[in-house]
Formats: sequence, structure tokens, C-alpha cells
Amino acid sequence: MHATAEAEPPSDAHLVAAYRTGDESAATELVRRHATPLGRFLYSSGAGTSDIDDLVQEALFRAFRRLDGWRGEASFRSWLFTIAGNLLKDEHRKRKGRTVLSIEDRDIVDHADPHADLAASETEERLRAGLAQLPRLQREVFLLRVQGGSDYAAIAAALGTTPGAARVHYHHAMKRLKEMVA
Amino acid sequence: MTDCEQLSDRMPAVALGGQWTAPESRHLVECDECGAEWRLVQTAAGLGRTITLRETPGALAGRIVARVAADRLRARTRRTWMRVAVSMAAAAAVVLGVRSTVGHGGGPRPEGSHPDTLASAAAAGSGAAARSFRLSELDQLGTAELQTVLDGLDAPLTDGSTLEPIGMGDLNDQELERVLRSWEG
Repeated sequence: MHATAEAEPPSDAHLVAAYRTGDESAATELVRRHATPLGRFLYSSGAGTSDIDDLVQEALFRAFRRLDGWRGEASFRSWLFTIAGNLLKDEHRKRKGRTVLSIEDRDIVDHADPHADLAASETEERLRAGLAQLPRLQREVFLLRVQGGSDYAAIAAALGTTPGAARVHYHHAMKRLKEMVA
Repeated sequence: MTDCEQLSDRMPAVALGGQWTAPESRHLVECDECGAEWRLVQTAAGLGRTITLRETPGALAGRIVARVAADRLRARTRRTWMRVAVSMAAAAAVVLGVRSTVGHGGGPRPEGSHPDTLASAAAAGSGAAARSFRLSELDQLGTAELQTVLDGLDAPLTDGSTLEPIGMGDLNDQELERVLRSWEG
């Protein structure tokens, strides 16, 4: 009887290398892993829900176009989020500073307790509005940490700063968000 | 005793699926600051959880791969056209250089001077437009010396000549642009 060892899923680095040699299924797997978290990152950073699909596609296109730029110091996801942050900044500039956050795009959850859901939704909206007001570096460090699950070293590599500075940005963001959301 | 900072560092990992230990859970209940921070991290980690993309990963990946391929093709075509443009500019520069040399080389040959073979070469090269060059440094040379000069001019160019055409195909875009700029002044 054979003991079937469960195959480890290929790492992002492995998939990137496979894509570079022409394996398009590697691209599909990378998109499957990161597209939705990327959409959530963009939404949390202030993008309107109606723009998410286009922004995700554009961010992924930019990433795949210059895959050589990812050297593996930061995680692929952190690197992708940084590209998305730059894209959002470009979009913001194109709209001449008008905020991308749309109040009608409420993230309403259909649960049994409508009062609790409404309170949660309001907290989320306040948090989103608070995130939109943060300096870009603070917002990105915060989201890379709480949504991307990255450590300070990976965040520092992705954003071109030091782990110590990333930690400081995170704590500044936390302090300001606590004040805004409370 | 659990340190607040240590707990703060653990929050994102727990919010994304980890577990608190019993002492950590107790600390969260007892410490208002950490409790507030934990609620914020939980909310932020779940932000946009209802976001769903219109396209499947396969369709989205296919679209992206196609866009990247089209972008690369565009870049390659641009590079090719750049090379053609540089080659044409080089050819035009050579023609202009030759014409300006031939056109403004000097006045008519004075009578009594040595036969100026450059003039006859220029005349031969430009058909009927017979022009002469006055090269005063050749005036004092004897026939044998002039013959030596002529032999040198008639000798074929060797491999080491600086007049060898530049291998434009080996240059990258930046180098080609630099070459173009230098020609355009």
C-alpha cells in the first residue's frame, strides 16, 4: 500500500517562474490566489465597488507586464498590493483629487440580526472613511498587515522602507483609526 | 503576563485565521486598549469580504496574458520602427555630410597649380558637376609625394577603420535614442 504524500501547493515564486517559461495555467493560479484579496485591498483603500473589477484587472496587468520587478524580497501579494496602491494614486490624480470612496457602495451583509448588521456596516464605513484620510504609507502598511498578513520585514521590502519605520507607520495608523472609528 | 505590544503584533495573524492562547484571551477581556484595537483589526481584516469579481480567475488570467502579449508585440514593433528611423537618419546624415563637403569644399582651382586629383575624383563621383578643391598643403609636394598620397587615398579601408558602419542592431532603445539625439544636435 502506498502512502500518498499530499502535494504541497506550488509557491508564488514557483508559479511566477512557470509563467515566465510560458505556462499560462500558472498565471491562472496566481490570479485565483490573489485577485479577490486584491479587490478587497482596493475597496479598503477607497475604490468604489463599481470600479473594483477594472482596477483589479489593471493592477494584475501591470504586475504581469513587469514580473521581473518582483525579486522575492517581499511576498508576491505585498508587491501586488503596492502596485495596486500606485494605480489607485494614478486614478485619484486623473480624477483631480476627487475621492474615489462612494457612499452608496455600502458593504451590507445579509444576516439574521439587522440591527447588529447595520452597526457593523456603519463601523466598516467609518473605518473605510478613516482609511481614506490616512497618509498613503500609513494606510498601505496597515492594510498589508491586517489584510495581507505580512510581517514588517515584508512590508518594508514592498514599500521601500525599513521594518522599524513600517512598525511606526502601523501604530500611527492604528492610533488615528481608533480615534476616527470610536 | 501578556504584554500589550506582543498581543498587538499577534492580532493580524489571529484575525486572518489564527487562535488566541488562554492568557491572551484573558488579557483582551481585561485590557480596554487591546480590546478596542482587536475589534478594529477584526473589522479591517473583514473589510470588503463581500467583494466578488465578475470574471472567473481563468477568464481574468486569459485576458491579462493576452494584454501582456499584445503589449510586448507593440513594444517590439516600436523598437523595430525606431531602428528603421535611426538607420534612415544615419543614411540622411551621411548624404548631407557628403553634400555639404562637396558643396562648400572651396573655390575653383587656380591656374598653374598641381593637378588636383581630389577634384577629379569628386567630379567623377558626382557626375557632370565638376568641382575643384584647393588644398594648399598639397601645393608644395612633388609628383612622387603626391602619388604616395593618392595611393593612400585609393587603398581599401581595413577592418579597423572608423568608417565601418555602426552595428545599430546591437544597440538598445536608450542607446539608439542617444545616437539620434547626437545626430540631431
